[in-house]
Amino acid sequence: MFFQQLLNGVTLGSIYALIALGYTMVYGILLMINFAHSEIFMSGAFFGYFFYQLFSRISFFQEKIFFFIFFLFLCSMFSTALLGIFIEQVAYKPLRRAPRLAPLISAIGVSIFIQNFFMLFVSNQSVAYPQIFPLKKYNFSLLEINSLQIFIIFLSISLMLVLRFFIQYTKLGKATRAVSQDRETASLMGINVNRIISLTFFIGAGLGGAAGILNGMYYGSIKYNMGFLPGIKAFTAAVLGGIGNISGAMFGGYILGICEAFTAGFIPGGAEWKDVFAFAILILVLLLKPSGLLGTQLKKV
Amino acid sequence: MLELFNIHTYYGEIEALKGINLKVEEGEIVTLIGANGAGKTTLLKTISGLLTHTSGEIRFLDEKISGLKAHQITKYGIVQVPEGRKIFPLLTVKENLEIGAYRKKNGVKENLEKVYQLFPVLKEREKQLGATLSGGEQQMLAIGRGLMAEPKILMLDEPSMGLAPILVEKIFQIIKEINQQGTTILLVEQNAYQALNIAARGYVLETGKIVLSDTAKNLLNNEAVKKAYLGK
Ligand SMILES: Nc1ncnc2c1ncn2[C@@H]1O[C@H](COP(=O)(O)OP(=O)(O)O)[C@@H](O)[C@H]1O
Ligand SMILES: [Mg+2]
Repeated sequence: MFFQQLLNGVTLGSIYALIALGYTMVYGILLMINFAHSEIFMSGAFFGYFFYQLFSRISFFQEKIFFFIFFLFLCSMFSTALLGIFIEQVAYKPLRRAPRLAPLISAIGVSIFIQNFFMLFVSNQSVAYPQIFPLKKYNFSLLEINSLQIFIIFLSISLMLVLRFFIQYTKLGKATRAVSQDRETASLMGINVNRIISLTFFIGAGLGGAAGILNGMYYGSIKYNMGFLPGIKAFTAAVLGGIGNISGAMFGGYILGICEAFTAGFIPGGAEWKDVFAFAILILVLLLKPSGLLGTQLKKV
Repeated sequence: MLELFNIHTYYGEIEALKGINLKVEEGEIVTLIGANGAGKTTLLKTISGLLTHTSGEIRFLDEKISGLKAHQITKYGIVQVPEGRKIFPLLTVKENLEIGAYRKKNGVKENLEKVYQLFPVLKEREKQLGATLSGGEQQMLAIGRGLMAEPKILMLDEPSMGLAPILVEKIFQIIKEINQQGTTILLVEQNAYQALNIAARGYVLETGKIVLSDTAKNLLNNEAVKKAYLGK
């Protein structure tokens, strides 16, 4: 039972961690919470749904499950990433010198717009999410794990490893860190700061998009308003790990996922309280240690 | 090489530069001295594109560079080493240097070797975070980071600020050395005596205006300069 709940927590945590990265990266660069990120996540789920419909009709992909999944994720993540850049250009960039409240209001506007877009053009009800690959169950003495959980955990961790590598070792990754530490000096190095900001939205949104698809696969349905809860939980995860801190967001995501699973699994009647639990954590962290467990590392020291 | 004609720069309503004319010839060390708040940093930031000037024109190698953004201006080989060093605190020493060569496609390794030769202590501290360096080491890193871009002109903003006298001596020595190896230098300083000692020419800036410009030698002997900036 313990290991079973731990597995559930890690699965959920993988999704939260992927979303949390988007919040934390944008915050690290612009010191701004992208409150439209939950809608980016939701859009990713819908893009995945569209590409599934599209690819199912293409004969090339018949019987080639690996390519099917690969291109499904690639195209959906790329579309979501472009949406992220689009939002940044339209809703945030013109307001970069405006008071801090302005981009917040703009984010709420964008969120309502995107939600309504999917509500009007797709459905105002839940949409059943396709099962992309057959669900196999594996029984071990301590826990039962299925192919979907393995897939979610594996894909999330792979994406996070790629991100870590990119940030740590590539020229653009170093430039991203430089911009997050000192924007003005970074531009003196010849770094086009606006490009790096766009890149950050691109990556954050792409990861959020992947999380959207994984979330859809895990729960079997999507809806235009599905972004809110996972969004706020991932935001909590980012704050928990120290907003602006990339490792912190991953760490926070897993901690939150595991706590949530344990609350639902071990506390009598906990399942109904698990969402409240995330908010309780958010409030506690903000009160006791606003810099999060690992500190806000990407920020200026 | 670098020419400024009648430059005006504002912070909102405040006019910080009130019609600056200034010239730096290839191979020179030119120093710009002036009290705190005179507008020295504003002038360097205007040249490097961090600030925009409202009128006048800046030319570099006979090309107009007015109105370009900071990251575009670095392409011309104009590199600013900012006041207060502005090391990236959470990048390692080596990463700080690498980011200095952000625009370079090749020759980065060679430049890194050159900088390490000039400042061996940076090689020793290669893997440390920028934030862990002492003030003097940070200044060396800031200069080294500037050199990584192979500047045609290096603009230094108060490199001696807050350093122990022995380090100040060393920094000025190194600036001279960099110049002898072929880099033109525009040196902003409050330490007027040291700056005029290594410079060929100097400008004196007071509340946004150039009030004096002459050879460094003449400025060192100028009564007004002596009184105001050399403490004599
Ligand atoms: N960001 C700013 N906003 C408003 N005024 C500024 C700003 N930066 C500098 N100033 C003003 O412009 C003038 C010149 O400043 P600065 O160029 O920093 O002088 P210096 O480098 O010679 O000490 C000063 O009066 C200063 O108060
Ligand atoms: Mg200054």
